[in-house]
Amino acid sequence: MARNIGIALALLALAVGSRIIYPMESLAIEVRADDLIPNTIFTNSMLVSLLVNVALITLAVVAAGNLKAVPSGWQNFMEWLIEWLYNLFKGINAEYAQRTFPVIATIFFLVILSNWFGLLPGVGSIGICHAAEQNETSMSEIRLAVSAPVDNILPPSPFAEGSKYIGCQAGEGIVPLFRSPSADLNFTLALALISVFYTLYLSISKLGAGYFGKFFNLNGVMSFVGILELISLLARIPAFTFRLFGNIFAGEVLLIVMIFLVPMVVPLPFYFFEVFVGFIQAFVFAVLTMAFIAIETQDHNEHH
Amino acid sequence: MEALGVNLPKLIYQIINFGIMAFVLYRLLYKPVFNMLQERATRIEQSLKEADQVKEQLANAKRDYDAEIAKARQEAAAILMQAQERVKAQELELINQAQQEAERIRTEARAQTEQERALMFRDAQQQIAEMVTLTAEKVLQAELKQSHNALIEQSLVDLAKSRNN
Repeated sequence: MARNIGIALALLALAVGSRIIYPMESLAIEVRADDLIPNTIFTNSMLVSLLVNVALITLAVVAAGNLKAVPSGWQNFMEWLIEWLYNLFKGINAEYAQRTFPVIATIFFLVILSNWFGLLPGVGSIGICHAAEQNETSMSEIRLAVSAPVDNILPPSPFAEGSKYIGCQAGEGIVPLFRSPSADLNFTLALALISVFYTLYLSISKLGAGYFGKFFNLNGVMSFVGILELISLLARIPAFTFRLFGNIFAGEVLLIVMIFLVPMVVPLPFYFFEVFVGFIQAFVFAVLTMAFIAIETQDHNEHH
Repeated sequence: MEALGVNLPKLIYQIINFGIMAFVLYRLLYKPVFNMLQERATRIEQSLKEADQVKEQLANAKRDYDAEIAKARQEAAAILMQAQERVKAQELELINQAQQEAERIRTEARAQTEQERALMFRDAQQQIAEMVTLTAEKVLQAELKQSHNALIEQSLVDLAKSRNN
């Protein structure tokens, strides 16, 4: 008991002490992904997106490159994961589980890895020094700045005089090298469009032109219901987009704010929480897509 | 949307990236893993079926074996019974033969005895006749006396004696 109290006190002292040793002056985080190479569309989230691709392909090759009848190691894990996902989708929509599995499982894997990649140390904090920062005056910018440690407490400062970032000159900002794709609206909007249009494609291929009868109906109150259906269908695009983006971006903001307030110890539980959120968002994205496919591919006339 | 960083080329990049990844993962991960899972399920099903077949074959073999054993036992019992009957028949035959043999020996013995008796009787008759002749001679020699009865008796006694000898 006394030992636990001692550990708690030591952690508290570390937390408070870290706040004094590493005082932070200001916060900065940008809503937009930054372009890494000027005059191109290549952003830091695209770089991470490529790294996520490499990680996924490596995982696929390691796990399924040499499949054995008696599984072990990564093969065992991936088989379990794929079977679990498949059974999950089958539970929601048995008819389309097999056919839609490659698309929806890919959504799940890309989203979960993108979410978790954003939690790795260095993402958002390692970057390229950038002098032209002051020219941009956007309301969507909040920048995180780490001030120089208090003198005489730590060895010679690695920060240049007046600089906020290690390795950068005074007045320079950084463009983060890495950014979670899930914290970039292009990625989440792309997935939302894929999800909604894939659902539409499956619905039309099953029900034909009759599918649109659900939206355009001249039969009294049903015409109003049709408009609502259309709105709910279109609303899925921003809903998917901002649910994922909002959760992951908010998670990053939360972590930065916690680090700003208390640099050590206290942010740790929030990291665990964000790992959980990362999983839940991937799960929700995949499950909702599957559920919408189940709803949309039902013959509307069957209910009347 | 531009203020939030949404940009058509970047959006298209992400869509194409997704398409490529879905295809690559389908080829490298989902398809092989599903095939393997399917193959394993088939193999397990087949193994279970084979195990059932083997069990059934074993049960059949056991049934055949039991039937064979029962049949062999029946046959053995039948053979034993036949053997016993044959032995009994042989025994009866032997007894019969023995009895016949005994009867034959008895008959022969009886015939022999009879023969010997007849022989002895003839012998005795001969001796009696000789005795009578002798007595008659003696009587005739010593003239006929009143005591010839005593002589006859004496002859008879002698005869008896000779027969006992």
